[in-house]
Parts: sequence; C-alpha cells; structure tokens
Amino acid sequence: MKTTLILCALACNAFAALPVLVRVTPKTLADLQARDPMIRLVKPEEGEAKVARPVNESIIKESTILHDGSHWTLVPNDAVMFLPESLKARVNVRPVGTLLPWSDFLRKNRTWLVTSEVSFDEAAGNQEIPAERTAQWAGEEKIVVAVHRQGPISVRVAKPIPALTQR
Amino acid sequence: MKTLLPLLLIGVVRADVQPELGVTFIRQQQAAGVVWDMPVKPGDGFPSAPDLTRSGTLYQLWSLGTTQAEESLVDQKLVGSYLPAAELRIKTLDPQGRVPRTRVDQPFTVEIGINGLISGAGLPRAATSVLLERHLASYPSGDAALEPSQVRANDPQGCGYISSNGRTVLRFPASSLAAPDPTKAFGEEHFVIHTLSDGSLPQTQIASGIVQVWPIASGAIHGICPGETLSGPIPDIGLELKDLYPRSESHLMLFKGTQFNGTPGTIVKSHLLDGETGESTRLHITGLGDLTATGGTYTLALVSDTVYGRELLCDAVTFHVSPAAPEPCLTKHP
Repeated sequence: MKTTLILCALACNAFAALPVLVRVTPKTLADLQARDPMIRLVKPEEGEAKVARPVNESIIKESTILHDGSHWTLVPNDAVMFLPESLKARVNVRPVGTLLPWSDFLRKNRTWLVTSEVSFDEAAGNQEIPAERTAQWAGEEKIVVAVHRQGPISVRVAKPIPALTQR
Repeated sequence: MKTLLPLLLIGVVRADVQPELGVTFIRQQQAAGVVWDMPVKPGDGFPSAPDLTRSGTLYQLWSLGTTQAEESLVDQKLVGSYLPAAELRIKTLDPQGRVPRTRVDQPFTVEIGINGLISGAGLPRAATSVLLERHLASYPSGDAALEPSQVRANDPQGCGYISSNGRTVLRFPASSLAAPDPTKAFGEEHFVIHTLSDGSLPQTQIASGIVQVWPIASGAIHGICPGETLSGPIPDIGLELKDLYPRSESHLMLFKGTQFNGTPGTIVKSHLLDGETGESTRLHITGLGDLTATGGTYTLALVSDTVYGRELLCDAVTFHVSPAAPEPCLTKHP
C-alpha cells in the first residue's frame, strides 16, 4: 500500500504545478450578477406585455381516452367520429394499465377500432365529410377515429351548405 | 421549417426526458381549432405538416409515463406564416452535458436570432418587437430535474423587448440563481422568446433555451489542524468533498513548505468524477507519514480540476513534522 502510494505520488508530480485559482466568494459573485445584460433591454410598461403561461396544462384533460382493459392511448378531443352504443365503455375512462402510442394501440385493437382518413379541410370544417362514408360506419360495430396521414385529428362539424332551391 | 420543427422537438426529448417516461406525443394545434397528433417516433421519418394558417400553429411536445398517468409538457413552439421567427442558443464554457451546463460563478452567452419583425411608425408592438423573458428555478432537494412548463409558469426574473431583426448576443457574467449561500445555487435558467399577443393567440412562445447551473464545490480536511506540529506518527486524514462538478477530478496535494500555488506538489489522493451529475463524498487517507519522513514544514491543499481550471475546495493546511528519531539498532542475539 505504502509503495503504491509513493509511486503514484512520484508519477503525479510532473503535472501537479497547475495554478490554483481563488475560490469565488459570495461578494464577488454578487458583483458579477449585478452586471446583468438584460437591464439594457426596454422593459414593458405595466400590463403591456401579456404573456400566456402554460399553467396546469394537461394533454390528458384535452384528449379522449381509449382503452382495451389493459392498455390505453389518447387522441385529440373530437377525433372519435363514430361511437357505437356497445363500445361506449371503452372511451373516456380513467387511464389505467399501460399507455401505448396510438399506432400500437390501433394495431392491438383492430377488431373494434378503425380509422377514417380525413383531409385537413374536412377536419377544419371547411368541407363536409361525404355522407356515404358516414353511412358506412353505422353498419360496423366499431369505433371510428379520424386520422390525417395516420395521426389522430379532431374534426369540426362542417356548417351545412344552404340548399339551393329551383324557382 | 415545418419538417425541421418536429425533428427539433424530438431532439429535445432524446436529450432531456428521463427514460422511464416512455411515450411521446407531438400535438399540433391550429388557431383554426384543429388538433392533430403527429404520428412520429424517434428515428422514423416525419410526415409533412398541413399548411400553417395565418394565425399560427402551436406545436407541443408531451411525454407521458407508460404505467402512470404522469405527463410532462417538454417543449412548445408557435410558428406561423406572419409571425416573427426566433432562434435561441445558449453557450457556456463547458462543452459537455446533455443540456448547456455552467457553474453559478461562470459566464455564459445567450444568442438570439430574430426575423420577421416590421419597423415603422404607428405599428403595434406585436409587429415590431418580441419579448425575452428570463426565468430562474432552483432544484428541489435531491432532484436535478424541473418541468419546463412549471418554471415558465411563474413570473420571470427579468424581461425586455428585442425590436430588431438579426442577431442579439447577451453575455451574462454569472448566473443569477439565488440560494442562502449564493455559491451553492443549483438549478436552471430558462430563456423564452414570446411574440406579443394580438388578442387572437392563446400561446405566444416562439423559442426557448435552458442552461443548467451547478454549485461551486467545497471541501474540508480533517485530522490535522493548521499550524500543528506533529512529532509522532502522522495521523490518518479525512476528506470531505461537497458538490463536485460533473466530470471533475479532485486531488489532495502535499507541498514542501508553505507555498502551493505554482509549486510542484505531490498528489496524495485523487478522486475522479466521470459522470454527468455532481457528487458529494468522503475519503479516508492513510500513509501520509511516508511522504513527510524527512520532516519540516508541509502544506496540504484540497483542489478540484474542472473545465474552469484548478481551484481550492477549502483553505490549505500548513503543518510541521519533527524529523523522525533514528530507529534503535537491534542486535541479534544468538
């Protein structure tokens, strides 16, 4: 042990002459902190710069939960376009079990969960979803989730276009 | 830009999010009211985003625990065709670290790039300026992670307008993070750039950056008092090392005489911290008597080598050793 210590000490001698810096004191640190460059910026006047702050934001609260008993996932609110009465228990329950990404959850539950691709204009409510497509959902006992390029998307109901009357 | 943004957000996940938070969602909210979960996985390709609306699109990066409904808003960014665009980068003297890392007494630089601001008389402030905010937050005891959204939900420590396009560089001589002992401040500084609200946007953040702030290490040498004269066996030494900086190496050094600065010394004991987190520890030293056998005046210095140089962790200890008496000659009797 002693021999090792001595050999180690001799080996380390060569690089041991680095300058030792003075440790910063609280006073020195306070002087550095006083040179804050942000004091040069123009400050907002009282009540002028209203900034929205992310207080208590929650993606879970802003989503629809889907679950299969042991796994769950979330999709944006208004992404579920068709919900059969018999499958209502699979939607919007307290999340328990393992969270899966949407694509994995869909793969595991294709027996009762399907998607319907919508365009961005359809999602925004600028364009109506064709009636034949919505009629098809009613024939299947499956939950239909709107997707855009495979990602779940909320769908706003398009304003009905006033019917033209022929005089 | 539309393709780049999800890539940047995923980059943030890889760097900051703890591995146990397993599922990430990139949620895109258009001002038109459409909400879309972009189908992305780290390493996969990215679909191009729908066209941005004039009012802007908010991208949020969420991370959720797989077994508990724990959620974390990791980052968010607002982009739009008419909004000013901003980039923010923080540079420190420490090239290591998953996020920019500095020490409370060390300088760092915040570089901001702005474009899309308009100049002219009579224009609203939202068109001519962006707002820079500086948020400070200390780590809770025993933890070295904070929720960015929680930090930024508080009132900022400082703020100010930037009213010109191009590059703005702010040089901070030290962190302003506070603590009862200011040298022990430990936490994060967040810088956030907002567009100013024109009444139509719920969120305004367009760029942000984080710098992690570490405390200054300190220490103590126990077992020998300053000025003490030792005539018998040299006692064992106890070392106390507090708040060692990530990727640092600390040494107990012995110097002949009272000078230690610039003088070659002998490294008695080294302690390597080869990790991304700090550490406090205690060490026990034996065998110092072999290095002081010739007697005289010696000085012990406890130092730490970091990216910022070699610094004392506590006051050096000078002591005196009386030369050892020659050992009695033993005669072997038959």
